[in-house]
Amino acid sequence: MPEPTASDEEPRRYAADDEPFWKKQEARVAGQLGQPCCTLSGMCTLLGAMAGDFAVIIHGERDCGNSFVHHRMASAERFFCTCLTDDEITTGRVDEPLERCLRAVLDDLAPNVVIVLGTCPITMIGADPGSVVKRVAAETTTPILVLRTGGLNLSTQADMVDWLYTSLAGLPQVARDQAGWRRRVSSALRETAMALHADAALAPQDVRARVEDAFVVPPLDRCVNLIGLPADGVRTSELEAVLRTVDIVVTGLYPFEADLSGWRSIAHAAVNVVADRRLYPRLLALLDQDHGMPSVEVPLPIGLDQTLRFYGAIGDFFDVREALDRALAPQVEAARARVEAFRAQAGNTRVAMGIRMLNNYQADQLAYEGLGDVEALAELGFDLTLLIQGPPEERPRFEQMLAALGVTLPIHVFPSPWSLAPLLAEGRYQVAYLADHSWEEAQKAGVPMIKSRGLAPLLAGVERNLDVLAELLRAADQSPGEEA
Amino acid sequence: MGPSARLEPFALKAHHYGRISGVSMAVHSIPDAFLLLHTGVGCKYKAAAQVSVHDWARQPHRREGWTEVGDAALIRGAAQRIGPYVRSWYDRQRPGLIIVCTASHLEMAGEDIAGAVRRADATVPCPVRYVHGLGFEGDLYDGYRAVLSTVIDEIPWSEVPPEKGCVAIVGYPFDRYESDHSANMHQLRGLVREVGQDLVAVLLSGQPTARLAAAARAETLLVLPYAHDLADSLAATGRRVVLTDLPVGLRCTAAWLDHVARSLGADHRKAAATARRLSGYADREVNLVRTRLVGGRSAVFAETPLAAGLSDLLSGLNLPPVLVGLRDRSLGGGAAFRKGLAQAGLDLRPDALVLEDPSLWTARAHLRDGIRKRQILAVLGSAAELGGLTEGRLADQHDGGSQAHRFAPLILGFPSSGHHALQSQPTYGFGGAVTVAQRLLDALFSGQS
Repeated sequence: MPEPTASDEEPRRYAADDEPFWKKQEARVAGQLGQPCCTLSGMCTLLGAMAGDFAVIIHGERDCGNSFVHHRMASAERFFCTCLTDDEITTGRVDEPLERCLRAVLDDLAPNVVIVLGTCPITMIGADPGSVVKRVAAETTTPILVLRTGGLNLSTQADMVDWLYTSLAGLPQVARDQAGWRRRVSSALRETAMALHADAALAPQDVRARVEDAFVVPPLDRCVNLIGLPADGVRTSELEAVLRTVDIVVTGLYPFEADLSGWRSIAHAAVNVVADRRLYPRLLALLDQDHGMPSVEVPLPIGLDQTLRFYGAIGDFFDVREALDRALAPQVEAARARVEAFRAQAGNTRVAMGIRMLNNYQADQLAYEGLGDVEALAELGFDLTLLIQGPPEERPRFEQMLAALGVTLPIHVFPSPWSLAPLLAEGRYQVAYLADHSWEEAQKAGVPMIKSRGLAPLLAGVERNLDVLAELLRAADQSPGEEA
Repeated sequence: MGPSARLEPFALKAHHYGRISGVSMAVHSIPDAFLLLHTGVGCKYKAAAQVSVHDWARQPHRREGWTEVGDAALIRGAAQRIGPYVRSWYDRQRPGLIIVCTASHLEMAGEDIAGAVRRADATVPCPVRYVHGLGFEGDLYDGYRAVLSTVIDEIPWSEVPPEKGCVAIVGYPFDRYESDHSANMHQLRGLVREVGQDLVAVLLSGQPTARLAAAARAETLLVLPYAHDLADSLAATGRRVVLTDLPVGLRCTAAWLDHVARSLGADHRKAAATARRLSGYADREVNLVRTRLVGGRSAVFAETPLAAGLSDLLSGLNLPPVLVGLRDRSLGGGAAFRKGLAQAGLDLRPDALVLEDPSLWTARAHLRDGIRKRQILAVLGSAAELGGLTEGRLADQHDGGSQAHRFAPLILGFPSSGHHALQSQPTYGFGGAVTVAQRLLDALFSGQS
């Protein structure tokens, strides 16, 4: 097998045609800051992580069931595939396998909802699963959703998540007294246990009152849905305790904490508090039109200032701003002191923040075009540069998009993860905030990294984040790096 | 248990990987190869995304591209995209081999993809080869084998004279650059040396294309089960072809050594003595844990040839399998599994259940049941079957104070996203038996004071 050498020349006669072609293709997917996605793959990933009594049928060839990292999914056992053969697809006989699969799922599993997802081969032959589903649905009370997903129509991740969540929120809602009590009770038990741990003298009647209260359905006008907030750390932070001081109850964290029944009770709140409402135009319109629910925009509550704006927006909506500020005051003061001390020590540290590097469909990653953590890093005085994965020749377009978002940070556009190591080394960055598949490149460059969206939320997260960043800076001082 | 017979064919498989995943895995195992996916955007998740959670040592994303086919491109004719993408990626990465892999719906469009790849091949210095990724048929190992076959075709067999005493191993399932595979290479090299031969190449083994070409020096090709289907094309190289099972487990490794020695015309009595000596070393180590596991039972989930070796290994630890899941569709299934065991003089327990290509639901349902009933003390399987079980160790498996008291889930094989090898951890050879025994010991007894 010939090994190419540095002296090998690619045929120049193609260069004139190839380079414009390449740029045209790159430009096609550079129209947004997020990466393009397959809606089948995206929905499987998100549904696979969702708990609940549902079933997903992938209507396509067997390998379409492999378009997500299924083995890591909690609900992978609820996925089925019609496993169409070459013959069935080429002759268009795809309805019968779907009907058999659908009936077997309904009879054997008896789920509360069935979701049928389309695939590229089905799109390509123009098959319409609607008639089969209609026929089967007429014989059952189980809702069957048909979503014509696939990879041929290059969708944005934002469009896909809005489509899926609108579909789930559009399912028949359960009665209010049936919804959410398990979560409320488990949350009350957890908090009571922690209170007992801290204060063994807690009276039995106090313990009983706490748990009994959890069974009471809270008044609708004091209930709030949180949409698009980070997956980790919100429940375990100060959030619920702080909101309880002003009689506000968090009824659901969407999408990360929502199981099927959660989506079927999304209407049981007075307001939706949303990180980046542009991500969910259809979902918010549905909640507004069908349930009269307003929505309030908040930043991702990462870092001190964004967290204060987050609490402020909730306080303003419920007209409890002053009481909320008072409840938060001790924690805010402590966090502000930590931030100022950190800033005095570590300000001007050169930090690289990568965006447009992921296709993981996570709401908090997608929020504000992946820039949700910028302000949290900027308030620490870091000398921040955005590394944008995309065609370098499209830099003006990225600059325009960022300007529209009010971001004026220096940027560097790089074509692919393999060019990251030299970029990090040449940029003399001391710390990097990158997609989790960048460990190898960061290591080569000798730049310690934290994976993007790894910062903890809310006031409780401020201190934790500063500890992690301080540790990272210490590592930066010690890291010799490999040759990039 | 699990879904009904009517629903089982539709349920997601425990090993639901198809050809594209196998192609990606094989390309990943050649560090200077590049995979160009001529597929839909979601097919990218069948490739590097699956391998990347398995390999912490080297990211596959950096050597994978995509022709960005959408509906408009498909209508206009997507095959014409292959040439520009091949040349652009060659220009950017200078690979030693480019594999172009397609998906079903693009194959169905009836375009001349093979022709487009051929034309692209003529425009760059490295070979550009076409491997179809039809998703109706085949499995991970089919895809792996397809790339392996391509690599074999590129080796200059007729230009390099075979050298006496040199062997190459063909069909090693390399899938990550962690120390489990480097340890297996060490084991294989040692075994080959014991029969007086020199191992000059292993296909595939994390070596670049130029190093793989050293296989041409071999006068004998030892073919592991993953490549048995390639026996005819290997015979056409003019080298002696010896089909073998896997050297995994004490008895299977001894049988492998004996088979190789006989096939090479070496002194098989000497080979038998060597096997006894090496097996004896391993046996003494393994005996430390074996004596504490009397009466235990186990479960194995692996592709057919590996399942046979691991069943031998577990039986040698007093943990004969009572549940076996064969997670491939191209390596012979139950019949090949039993034949592999028989060749090492082993048989399954009469109460053992063998599941062929089970669904995730069925695999996990049987596992949960066996564990709940305290029939299964240890499970060797990939992160797919063990997902959801690894955090739920069941206490008090045995009552006796000196007995193991836990359920041991050992992640092994692809994907091993929950287990990564920082230090030498072979599965192959006599050393592999000791390593697995050590892992079992740690998993079962580390909670005891």
